[in-house]
Amino acid sequence: MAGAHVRIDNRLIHGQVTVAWTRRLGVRRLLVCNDDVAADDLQRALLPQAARGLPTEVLTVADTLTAETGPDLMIVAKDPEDAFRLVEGGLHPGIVNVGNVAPRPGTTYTMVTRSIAVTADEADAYRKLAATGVPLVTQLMPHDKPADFLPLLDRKGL
Amino acid sequence: MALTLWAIYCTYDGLGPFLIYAQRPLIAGSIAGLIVGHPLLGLLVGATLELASLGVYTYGGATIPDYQTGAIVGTALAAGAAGDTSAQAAIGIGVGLPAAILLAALDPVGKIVTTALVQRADGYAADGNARGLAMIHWVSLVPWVAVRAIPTFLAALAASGGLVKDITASIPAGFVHGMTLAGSLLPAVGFALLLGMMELSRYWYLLLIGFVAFAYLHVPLLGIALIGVAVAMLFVTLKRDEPVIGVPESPTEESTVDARLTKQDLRRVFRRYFWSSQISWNYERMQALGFAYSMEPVLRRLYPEKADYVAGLQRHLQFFNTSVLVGGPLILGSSVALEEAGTPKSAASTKVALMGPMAGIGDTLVFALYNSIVFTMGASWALQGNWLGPAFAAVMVLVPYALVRRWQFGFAYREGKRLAGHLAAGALARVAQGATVLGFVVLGGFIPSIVKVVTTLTYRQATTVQGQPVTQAVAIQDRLDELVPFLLPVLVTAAVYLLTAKARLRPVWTIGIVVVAGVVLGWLGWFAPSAPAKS
Repeated sequence: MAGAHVRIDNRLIHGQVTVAWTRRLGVRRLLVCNDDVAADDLQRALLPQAARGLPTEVLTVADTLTAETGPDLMIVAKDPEDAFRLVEGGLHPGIVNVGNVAPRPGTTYTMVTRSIAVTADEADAYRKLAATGVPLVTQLMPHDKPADFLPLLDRKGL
Repeated sequence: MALTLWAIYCTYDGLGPFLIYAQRPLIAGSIAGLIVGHPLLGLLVGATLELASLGVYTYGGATIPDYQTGAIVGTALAAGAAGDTSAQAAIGIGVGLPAAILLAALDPVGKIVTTALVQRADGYAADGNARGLAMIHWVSLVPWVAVRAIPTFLAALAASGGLVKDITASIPAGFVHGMTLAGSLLPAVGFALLLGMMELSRYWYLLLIGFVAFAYLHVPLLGIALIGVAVAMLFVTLKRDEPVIGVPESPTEESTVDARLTKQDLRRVFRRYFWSSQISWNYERMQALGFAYSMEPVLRRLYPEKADYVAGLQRHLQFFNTSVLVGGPLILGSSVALEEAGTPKSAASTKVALMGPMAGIGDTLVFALYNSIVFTMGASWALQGNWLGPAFAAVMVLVPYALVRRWQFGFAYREGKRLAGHLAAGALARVAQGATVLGFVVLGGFIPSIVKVVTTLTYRQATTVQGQPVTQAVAIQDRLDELVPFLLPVLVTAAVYLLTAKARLRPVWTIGIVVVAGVVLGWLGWFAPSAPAKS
């Protein structure tokens, strides 16, 4: 498949994505990729309204793999497992950017950066994703300096 | 001491009730001026910093210059400076602006503390300990206040000595002139940042309406705002026939709802949110602790079993971030209704679905549009030494925001799950578009009226007077005015816009460039805020 920008962000569509990143990358379309979100009528109806006019789809992982991609598309994956399934299914992003992963109370997590919480399961998923050869970085905002993601996991002993 | 208390109040007001939006420099500086006995100075410093900061708002909690503290500190120190009020104002801006930028470094310190605190809140929630949760929430206000009140205290201390007067007496007049010009150019930064937040390529032509109204028809700003409202209504009504997205309603679900909450329960929830929504903002969960604290009375009432109560607290301690003035109360009311309806999963799902759209629309309505219009008008009056400026701004935020928040909460609670249907049907998009149109028209009038710059340069022109060859000086500004009135303010704003939106310079660097350019050009005497009186 042709490439697309892929961002892992469980906040899905919000100001950082719609204002900062879409301009920096020349994005004209957004795609939220997650099976649960795609099955939720409310989120499927409301998320496009957060996109400030950009055409936005909310699809399952399987549907995303059959959708038209391209350099003007940004795919927002909710978690690293979804991103891995996309790559395993044939998507070839030039880079995968981990943006925000907010912690869920009641789970055991470690804050890897200010905005990224990682559980043990998620750490495994990130490593699986990186093993596919796709560069995995974290860069919250365009003016931040990108950092390799795996060393951050190593540093926290995950 | 009074200044320190004022700094404490400003910080609290900007995280909790937003009664008078005291965190904005127009309000913070004006009251600081009263406190130190230099009311006009406070107006001028506060208004100038206000206009420089129009487009500077936090996205996702990003650190921005601390204009509140900058305005207070700048006013306090300038009050002890040598010279008349306009010279003091230039010094106040010269101090307040770098102070705002440098003090931003303390902001993450405060947020790191609140982030550490929220992890302890998880422990209290797991135990069902509401008192502990509330304590963490309110204690989180302390680091926010500390990083702003301490610098204010130190500045007030420095100002009370005679040192400030001695230092400022030796500042060359050229620098004061330069800083005055820089102050009048800074609004271009605010306007350029606003344009960068809005869809300029789609609506640029609306700027012309406001510009023509001001530059050629001499319509006052309030008149231009009314024109903007009319144009916005035209845009919205002409597009009313767009197809709507249908969200299936659940009439059977409605009939099963019976009221289990009292009016007092609802008032307690709203009151908690109103007075403290963001005082425990932190990097991990952002507004979640404030939301959970607000929901707690309802969860207590609905879930007598401890396990259910604990699950409810944990459900609402999930990450949450949205606009607290337009959006947050809506989501709160909806969550209360859905918890009461016995559909906690819907409550969680609706929160997740709504916080993104409401953040985008709420922030646009509040920051990019309403606040910018209100505070720009207030600041333009304040720059004339008119106390109507801060008073107007304070009233225009106090009344509408209190009413709008209360209405949102009540409306969302009554609508329950149907709320999402209303929003999905396009109400959000229509409101956002109308507000954007209004913003563009008004901005078109603001740029020429508030960015003040003229050139004092002249060129020699040979001509004949009564048959005799004569060389006379011709003011370049007169020629520019014949071409297009207010051309320089427009060009300055356009240049700053290109720096930020195209060259992607960070706001702090852009401000630095504008200040340096202003000081240099003003010092040289080539440009000034306004034309010298013609003899």
